[in-house]
Amino acid sequence: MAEAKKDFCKKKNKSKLAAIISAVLLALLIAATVVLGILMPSGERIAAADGSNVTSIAAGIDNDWYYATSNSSVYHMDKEGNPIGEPFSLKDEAKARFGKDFDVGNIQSFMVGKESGYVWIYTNVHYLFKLENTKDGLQLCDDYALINGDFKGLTEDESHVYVVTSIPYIVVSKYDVEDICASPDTGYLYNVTRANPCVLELVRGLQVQGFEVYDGLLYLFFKGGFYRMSTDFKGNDYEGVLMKEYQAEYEKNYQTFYAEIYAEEELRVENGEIEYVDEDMVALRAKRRIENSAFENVQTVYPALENYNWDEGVVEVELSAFLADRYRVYNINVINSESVAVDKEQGNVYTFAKAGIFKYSFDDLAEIENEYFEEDDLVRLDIELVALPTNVFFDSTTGKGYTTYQDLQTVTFIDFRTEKEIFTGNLDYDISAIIHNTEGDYAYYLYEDKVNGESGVRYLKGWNVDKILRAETLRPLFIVFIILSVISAIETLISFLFWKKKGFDKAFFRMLKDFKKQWIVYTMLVVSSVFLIMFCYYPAVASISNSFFDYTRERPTLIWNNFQNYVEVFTNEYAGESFKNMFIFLFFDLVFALIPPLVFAFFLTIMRSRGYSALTRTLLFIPGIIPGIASTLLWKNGILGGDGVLSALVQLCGGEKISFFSRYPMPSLIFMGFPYVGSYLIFYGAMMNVPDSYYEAAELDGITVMKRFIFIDIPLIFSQIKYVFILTFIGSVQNFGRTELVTGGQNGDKTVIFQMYTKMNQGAWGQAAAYATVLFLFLFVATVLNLRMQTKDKEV
Amino acid sequence: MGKSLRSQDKKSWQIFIVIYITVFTVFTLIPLYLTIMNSLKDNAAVSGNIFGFPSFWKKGFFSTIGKNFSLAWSGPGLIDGMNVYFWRSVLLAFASAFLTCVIGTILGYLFTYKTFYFKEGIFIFFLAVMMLPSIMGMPVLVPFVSNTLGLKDSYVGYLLPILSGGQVTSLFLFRTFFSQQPKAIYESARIEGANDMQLYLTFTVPLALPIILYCFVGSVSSVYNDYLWPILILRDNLTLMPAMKNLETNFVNDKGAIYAMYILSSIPLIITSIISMKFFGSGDFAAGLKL
Repeated sequence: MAEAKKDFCKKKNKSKLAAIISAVLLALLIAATVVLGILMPSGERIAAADGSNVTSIAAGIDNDWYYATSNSSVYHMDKEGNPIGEPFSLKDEAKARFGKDFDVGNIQSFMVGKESGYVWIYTNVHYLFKLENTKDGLQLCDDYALINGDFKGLTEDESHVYVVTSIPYIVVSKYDVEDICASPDTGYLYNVTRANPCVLELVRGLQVQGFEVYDGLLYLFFKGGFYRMSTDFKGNDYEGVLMKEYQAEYEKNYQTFYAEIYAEEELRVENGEIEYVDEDMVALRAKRRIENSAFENVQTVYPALENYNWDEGVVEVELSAFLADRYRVYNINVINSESVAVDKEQGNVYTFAKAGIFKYSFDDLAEIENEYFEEDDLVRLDIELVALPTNVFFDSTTGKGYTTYQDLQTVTFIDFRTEKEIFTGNLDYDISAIIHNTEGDYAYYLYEDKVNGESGVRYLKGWNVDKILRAETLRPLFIVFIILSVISAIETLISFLFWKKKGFDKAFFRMLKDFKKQWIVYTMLVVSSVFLIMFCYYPAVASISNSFFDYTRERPTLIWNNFQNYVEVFTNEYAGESFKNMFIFLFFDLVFALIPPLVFAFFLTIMRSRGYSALTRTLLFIPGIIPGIASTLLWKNGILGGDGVLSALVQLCGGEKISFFSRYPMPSLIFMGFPYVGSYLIFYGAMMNVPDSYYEAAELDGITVMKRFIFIDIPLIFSQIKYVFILTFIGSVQNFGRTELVTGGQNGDKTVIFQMYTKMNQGAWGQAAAYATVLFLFLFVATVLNLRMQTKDKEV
Repeated sequence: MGKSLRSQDKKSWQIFIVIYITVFTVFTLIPLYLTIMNSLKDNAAVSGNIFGFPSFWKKGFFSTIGKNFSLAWSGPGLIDGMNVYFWRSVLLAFASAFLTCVIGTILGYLFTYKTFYFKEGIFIFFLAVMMLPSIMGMPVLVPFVSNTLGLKDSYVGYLLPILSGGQVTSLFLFRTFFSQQPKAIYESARIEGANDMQLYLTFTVPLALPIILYCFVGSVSSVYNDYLWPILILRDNLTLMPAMKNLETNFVNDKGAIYAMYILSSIPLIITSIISMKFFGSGDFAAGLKL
């Protein structure tokens, strides 16, 4: 006895120790998880210093970066986001320099010239300004240009800056970097049809993905390939050639037109239409007017020009006059390029496509005979893209770049010099620009927060790249720690039970033994349960939770949206129609599922001719073998349709051919299934099982047929009636095929389930989930009753 | 037959009842009549008088039938007929019914004859699934199966949720049935040294054959008739029921073929119905089920 007690105490001490150790372990794990959670970094949203919105960002050439705000201010920052110098206000500076009336507009985009180090600013009223980065901060240069047309971007070489615009033809204007006031050389893009004469068609409406000057040639990339033209625009600018021939006449005309237009403008100032005469605009319009008038006798002036039709943008030149080495169009046949990164220093081009990143070098172009790139001409980099790439933000100084993906938060940071992926991580949706400093350890990006932010406003966020990397490695670790904590918690609980609860150890070991002995049984149950959780419980629970979130196919976010999905369910344009129809169908379905079959079954039971009853039952069995969908379609075509029975009857009575389901959709759908004998068999079987003695007793009291039906049969088969009622209820609310098959929901016969299906088809999962939840609550009572009835009756 | 009262035996009542039943039966049979008759007629006859009788006395009657059915089966020219969809539907329906029965009987066996820990809890866990209407989880299930699991347009992705849900109903059915069976045979067999596998194969399955068939037939028809789930999860591998709506448009000039298609699409259900009739009699089995 004492021995046993000692043994027990020993055991107890052991389990006490185990419990304490596991409790300590649990505490440690929880602490570690919390610490990890705190350490999980997230980017910091940076607000503009003057409280306005950030409109664009650009990386500098010396570990610095700039951002511009909607107040036309430019801020200069170091890599960690600390301001350098005073902010530069373009509005104030321009007014101080160019006069009070000078309206610079708002900064639309700005970039830092990698060759010159100038900061180029383009405003929404078409001005191009140049800022110099001096010791005293940013200084506005005296020269500025007025850009004609829709600005697409600019690039630099050693001595010039090239501006690409579309007016709507794509034009490249070349300005001297040191003096952008001087009027630029311009070159046009053409699509070339090689025949004699060459037909050159001006390019318009091009989605420019990028452009770069390399070795005296300008490359302009678009979705299916790129254009190449010489930067002196010889051999591609027929307008330019023409002008030089006519220099004297050009000058004369220019003066005349300038004076004319200036006079017109002065008149407008007098009339108060405009405030002052914009001389740049006058000059530009004068130039354009010359261009339009000077091409009438082109043929005689320039023999290579066969035909010039400015309005249609078509030029014809002799094949010999077309300088193919200076001007060419290349198409990339194999891939559909989504965006392009040009590494000028290495002379490489990287095209981003769904299939991956493909590389070719400018030097390759010399060897290519035809104007198509084939698969062999491209090298595929060994970098996996997550999805369809949308934009590449490449920095030619560092040779590194980010790519964003369609409908994803994910970005990939790539070092193009080593052709290696640095990391793939999550930033934000709708990123419009990403920059990084020269060392590549800080990233700043502009994005639109479509869920929480104001629409149309772009937000600036900055991240230490190491932190992004850390987030990517920490996240799985965090999950592992959570799982470990849960396991440890269970273990702690068990060890405490060992310690405190008497007899628990024996029971526990018995259970373990049973697990081991009957492992097949437990495995089967676990497998079954896992499937049940995966495909039944998880979807149902997640459906309810998703219904509160902005959760769509494009953007599966878990962002609370204030019951917006439910508001949509009850207030959308078809809400009234769909709920009304659901209740109408429900009412008629219930009535037709109960009354006609009950009456029919009752008559069958009291019919004297047993043979006829059996025959009827056999006959009625046959229509049931037609599949439900086939039967619905049959009703649609054969009975309700234009060729259907009802239409034939109408025609017989002298009427027109009529398609009932499109003219009267709701009555037609309700009529479907006439005469609704439906589930009579259940009632019939139940009535046949009612003991005869009930009837005999009633007959002695002189009961009538009607009374017998109401007071004996119906109460006695009430459980069957309940069963049919509940099944019909559940089936009617979920009956989707009826509307979809017959009318497609076009004629005001939408139901709630049909709306839910529409939402699912649109990929609006959150809203569909809201519909599902509403229907679930509506059906809940019915399903619970159904379940209870089945368990109760079947377990007897 | 003691079902009728003397007052009902009056001739007028009986005449009324017979007329009532005849009228209702005839109306109920109209769709069936339309299907059969129109599948035997050519396009002009269908469009002309849908209610008309096929002109079987005329020449070319049999070739019309042949044309309608072959059109419905293999489609006009290069366009798909129903055959591909038909076989796919049959395969999926029978496969899922078979698997549902296997899983259901095994689970039913476990819950009836085996003792294990948390038995009641697990059973309730299984049973509670029946409280969820099938549409409840669909807004999550569709993206989950097609994107997360990457099983869009695959048979596995189509079947897994059906089986997961189906195992509950069949477990319930089989457990109810097994618990009504005498335990004595199992006990004596166990004493003789039979293991679970032998018991399951030699007693459980043969004894439950009618109820297995009931479950099988029910599963076949529910999967075969399903409309919503296949259109959500399948695209190129669509089953027959949702495909029929599109197939119809191929036969605008051969309306007879549409009706032939309805008949052909009934074949699997005719077969299962014949099986169930043979085993359960005409519907009395359903009536005999305790509801």
